[in-house]
Amino acid sequence: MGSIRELNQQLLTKERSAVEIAQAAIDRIQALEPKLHSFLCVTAERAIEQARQVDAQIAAGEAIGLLAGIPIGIKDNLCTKGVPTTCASKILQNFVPPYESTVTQKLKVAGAVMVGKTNLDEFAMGSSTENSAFQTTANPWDLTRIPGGSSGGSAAAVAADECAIALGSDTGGSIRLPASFCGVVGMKPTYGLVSRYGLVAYASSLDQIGPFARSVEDAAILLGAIAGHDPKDSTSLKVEIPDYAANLKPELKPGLARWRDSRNLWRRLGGCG
Amino acid sequence: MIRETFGEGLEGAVEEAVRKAIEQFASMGAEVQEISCPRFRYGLPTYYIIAPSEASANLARYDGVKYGLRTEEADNLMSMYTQTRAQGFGAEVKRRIMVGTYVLSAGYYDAYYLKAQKVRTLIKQDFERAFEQVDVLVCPTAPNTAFKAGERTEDPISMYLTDLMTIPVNLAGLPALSVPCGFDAQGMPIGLQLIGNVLQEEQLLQVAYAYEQATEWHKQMAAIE
Repeated sequence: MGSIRELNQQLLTKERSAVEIAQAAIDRIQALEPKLHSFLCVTAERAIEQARQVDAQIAAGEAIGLLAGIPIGIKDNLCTKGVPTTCASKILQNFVPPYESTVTQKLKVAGAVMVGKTNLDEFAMGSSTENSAFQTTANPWDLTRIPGGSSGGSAAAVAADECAIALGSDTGGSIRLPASFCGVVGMKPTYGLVSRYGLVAYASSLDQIGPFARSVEDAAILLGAIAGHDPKDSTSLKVEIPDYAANLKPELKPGLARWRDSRNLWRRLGGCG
Repeated sequence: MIRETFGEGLEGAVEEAVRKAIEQFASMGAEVQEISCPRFRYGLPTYYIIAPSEASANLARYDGVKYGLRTEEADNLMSMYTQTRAQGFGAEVKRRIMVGTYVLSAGYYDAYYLKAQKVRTLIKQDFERAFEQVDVLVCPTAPNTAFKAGERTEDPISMYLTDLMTIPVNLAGLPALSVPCGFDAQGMPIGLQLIGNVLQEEQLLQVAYAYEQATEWHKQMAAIE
């Protein structure tokens, strides 16, 4: 599918339209899902409609952001207005949220194209995605193995190129573990960096939303898009968000020690503990 | 590197890949130090008290009244609550609700929940001490690679042990990421965990990016049969 910057370039040079990119992702999902089971719900129509809007913006000569037209998978414990949000639990099987989570709202505004809701261990409780009430996701590297959990659907979908990037949640390793098992990049941000508004709560003092990607740069771009203070989450931190992807260098910079003065940040911010 | 993560229970291929990654960092000019986080190993039991406690409170809202499933078999309110929850939740969710309710109950609160909160602070202090000496901590993301479906479903403890290396990070509220660092003999990916200090995402991503650009692991894609 390509990296975020590659896809963005294709859109800007009109090599491919956002609808073509979205359709390619949906075709791949339909071809692989019988083996992988990473998605609980594929939002094909909605994706094409979102992509059409991005194409209209490009046609009108409007500037688009890096995430515009990028296919993304969303863990099914993040509330999406009008789209079922089940937490892979029978108890929420028919739940359609009347509101949008802050992170998915931010991605919507950025023009990212949601292709579907990804599988997880029920209420994010598990390390293999086998605790889903609906299906067990396979590891793209060996279909007889588990993808890790609890964000196993998001990790498998990114590893199998069903979408370029995905969102997960991490309470005790639920992003990093499946990222490790599926050979992709997964990040849990500092508690409070990303708003939890609209994330179905498991353990509120530990839960944090974060990105999955096939490269560090893509993870940095996605993190930058979802991070930031949100008055709707009382544990959200009031901090400035740097452009994480802007200054990535292929070498280790000397003088990283300038960061050290942040040692007591927690206390200053009045964070947990 | 965190000394305590290179102990018993770590798969050989994982240890080898992570040690190679550390050598890679050293060859790129990083100053590698072995750091001790002696309370790291208490992360797992601490988590399995705190997380179920919070879960038992958070999941109390699924009672069949406000949203989601409601059983049709009940003939009174109490039986509607209990039957909806009995039918709606899976085994692992029920286990955690029961553990959480137990450790929060009168008489056990001090022995379990309160103690776990104190240990949580000690784990956080281990990290604080470590970050007085280094910028980024490195260890395996998991002690093993992906296992076969069904292999650990009957044994919750063996499943919980998979999160041994990731849990302390959540307890301390720190940022961390996993980046590919190799494959085992079965061709399954291995992850390297990089842990940063509070709000040091920019630095963490920079370190991960430099490693990624110096290696080829992230370029390999799964070939799905």
